[in-house]
Amino acid sequence: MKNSKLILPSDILYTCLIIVVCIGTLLYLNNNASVGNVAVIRQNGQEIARLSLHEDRQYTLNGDYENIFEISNGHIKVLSTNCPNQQCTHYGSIHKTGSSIICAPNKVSITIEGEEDEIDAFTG
Amino acid sequence: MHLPVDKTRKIVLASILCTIAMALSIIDISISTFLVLLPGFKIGLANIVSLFVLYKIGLLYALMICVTRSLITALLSGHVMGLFYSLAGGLTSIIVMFLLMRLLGIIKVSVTGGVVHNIMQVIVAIIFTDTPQIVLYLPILIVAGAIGGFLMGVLCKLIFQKIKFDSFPMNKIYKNN
Repeated sequence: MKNSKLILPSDILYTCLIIVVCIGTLLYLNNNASVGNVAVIRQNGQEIARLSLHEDRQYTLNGDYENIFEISNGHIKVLSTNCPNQQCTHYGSIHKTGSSIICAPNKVSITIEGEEDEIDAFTG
Repeated sequence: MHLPVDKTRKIVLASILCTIAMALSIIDISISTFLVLLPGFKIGLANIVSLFVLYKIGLLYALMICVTRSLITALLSGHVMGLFYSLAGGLTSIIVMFLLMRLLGIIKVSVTGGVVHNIMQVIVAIIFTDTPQIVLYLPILIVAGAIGGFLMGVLCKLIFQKIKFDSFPMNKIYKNN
């Protein structure tokens, strides 16, 4: 190669560009997973209930074991359960579209789904 | 007066470079398991050899050296899970670097290769451990990969400038910058 400059300014520019483009793409994709509106509860693959995340409530589901879900503040979590592995209670709460909590022994899953139109504000 | 670049000389050079790549790979593993939280993840130290081989010998030898050093390094170091990460990252980055060779200078090619290497490792990690949450590591890994690629590219360019490898002409398709 020629005996020229080692690092051109365009090299540094290119590095920064790549970093910005990749991180920008990631942020854009992440922001599309927005706050969800409804929790869909399925047991054995069948949809059992659709609970709105906007009203605080508790919901009890019985199957092989009992799960009690609690919705508060737009989040849903498994409040208590009598299944052998307590994974679902330790998982915490979810509120974003697409996230899920599973109770495998009871064959139950909670998935958050959003609605087509984004609500800018919600009163009441 | 230069000897012709025949297959024997290519094989000898490739073997030496493969050994160097294995040594770098083992150092890579030691540093990476110490610094990074992701299992099997690598900083791409051995990619400098891939870069060198791409520019001096060719695509086929680069791919073969990558496969060989990944296999032997995995067997020697005992990190067999790292094999899939190395193979995925290394092979993909070599192919991407080969495609970009005729368009961009060596440093830009190396930066792109480093970033692609890390992205592929994250994809493999997500598939193997079934936790899509690993994608949250991507921003910091992309930055690290870009910086690593940049440094490797600078080093390789310096080597090409300072040390004359006249017996091995540069790959015909590269872009001189």
